[in-house]
Amino acid sequence: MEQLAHRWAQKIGTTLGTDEERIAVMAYGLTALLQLVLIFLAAALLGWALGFFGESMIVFFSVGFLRRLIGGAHAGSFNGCLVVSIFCIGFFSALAHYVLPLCPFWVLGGASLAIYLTAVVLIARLAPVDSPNKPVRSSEKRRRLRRGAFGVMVAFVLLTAAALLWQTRGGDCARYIWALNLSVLWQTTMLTGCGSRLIRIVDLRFKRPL
Amino acid sequence: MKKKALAALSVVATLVATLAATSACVWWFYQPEEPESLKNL
Repeated sequence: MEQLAHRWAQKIGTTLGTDEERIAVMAYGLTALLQLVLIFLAAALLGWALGFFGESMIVFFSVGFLRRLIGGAHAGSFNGCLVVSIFCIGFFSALAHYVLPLCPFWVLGGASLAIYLTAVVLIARLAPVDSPNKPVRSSEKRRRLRRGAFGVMVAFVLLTAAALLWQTRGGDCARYIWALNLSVLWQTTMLTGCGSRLIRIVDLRFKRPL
Repeated sequence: MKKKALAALSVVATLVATLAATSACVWWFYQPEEPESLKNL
């Protein structure tokens, strides 16, 4: 897929007569765009087919937005990324739709509180976690990303609090709260050594010749 | 016409690249190598 993006960028660059650096920027943008579109389509199809479209969209967007600000463990290949992403979206959405709403309200409230407290501590201590392909060197950028991450966390906490309140008044939104909780838990786990080891194991499977 | 479509795609790709450059990573798990000109954003 990455090679496809490079081929397209080369074709655009040759037609428009742009320099090599501009072609590299376009290839980078097209790779990002392809990744976003493919994961979105997979999440939408999976959600639509298995009856948890709302949950899969919550997982797709909340992990994506949080990840842009806090970074985390990275897959070494485009295909590895696709498989991990689709598996996570499907697994968390299914858990949030079919299993976790069976828990009583106090479990949902307690888990939400524990997950957000843990997430805030991990973000304050570890974020942003960069990758060798995109190092975050400037301390000003690190501060800006961390501030943004806390902004997103405040928005998630407010949304969860409003949804919990709605749930106590007879609303049926436990599955959406669980989807958001699992996304926050997963993404903040990716900041730790444990998350990094997990992604490395998946990577090894994809780099092994068939 | 084809040249206009390619120019539009080039603008979209450059915009996405700039947005990705101002964040900690692109989206989900794969991070391609960042071009030199975007490293200071």
